[in-house]
Amino acid sequence: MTTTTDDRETDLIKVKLFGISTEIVGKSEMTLLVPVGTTVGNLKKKITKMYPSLDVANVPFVFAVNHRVVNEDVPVKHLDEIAILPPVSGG
Amino acid sequence: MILITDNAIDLSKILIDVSDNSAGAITLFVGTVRDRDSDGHVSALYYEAYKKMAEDMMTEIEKEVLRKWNIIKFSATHRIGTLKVSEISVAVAVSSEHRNEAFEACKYGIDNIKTRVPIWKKEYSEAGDKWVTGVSLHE
Repeated sequence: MTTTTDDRETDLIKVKLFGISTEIVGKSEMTLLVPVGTTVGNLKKKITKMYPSLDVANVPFVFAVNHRVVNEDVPVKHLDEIAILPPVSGG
Repeated sequence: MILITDNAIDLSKILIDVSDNSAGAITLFVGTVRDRDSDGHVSALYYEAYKKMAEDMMTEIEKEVLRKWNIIKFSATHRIGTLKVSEISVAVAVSSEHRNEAFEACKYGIDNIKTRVPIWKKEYSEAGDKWVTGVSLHE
């Protein structure tokens, strides 16, 4: 048996889901293991690869980190509160 | 008062919340569940919020209103959960010395709540249920 060593440090990231994104993914929160220094853009690519129906062309969602909508260059960390926000329709 | 709540919205409480001896006007906007949309009859709406962020954003909108207009008090409440036709989903109230500021500030309040606050609604109709197409949030 061979063992492989992954020497990259990883972060456990929790992502909250809302509205239609919850329905597409089938849960209201997901946990992902990502390399340290992962950005919102990397996370978006990873998630849309896992759930192709959650494509931005289909659902133009944005990410919030710690309750603020952020751009794709922002790095995410273990304790950040990350959320996928589809277009809003309150009122 | 800024509030996201599971409970029915009591309009009299909202009017009391914005009332003030120096006010000569109070405007109140009330959003209610309509019984139809383009797909036909609507029986109910389900509202979901990212509560902490929604209340933060509503507080930010309140600050903007207080900066832009010479008003006395601002109040915004949004209900979540399943609402039947004619039930109140949102209420915005403003008190001011004169009516113009109260009307303008109230309109700014509800317009911005509808486009900037992380709340989503799902419509139950004859055609089935669907999440209502909304407005993308920005940084």
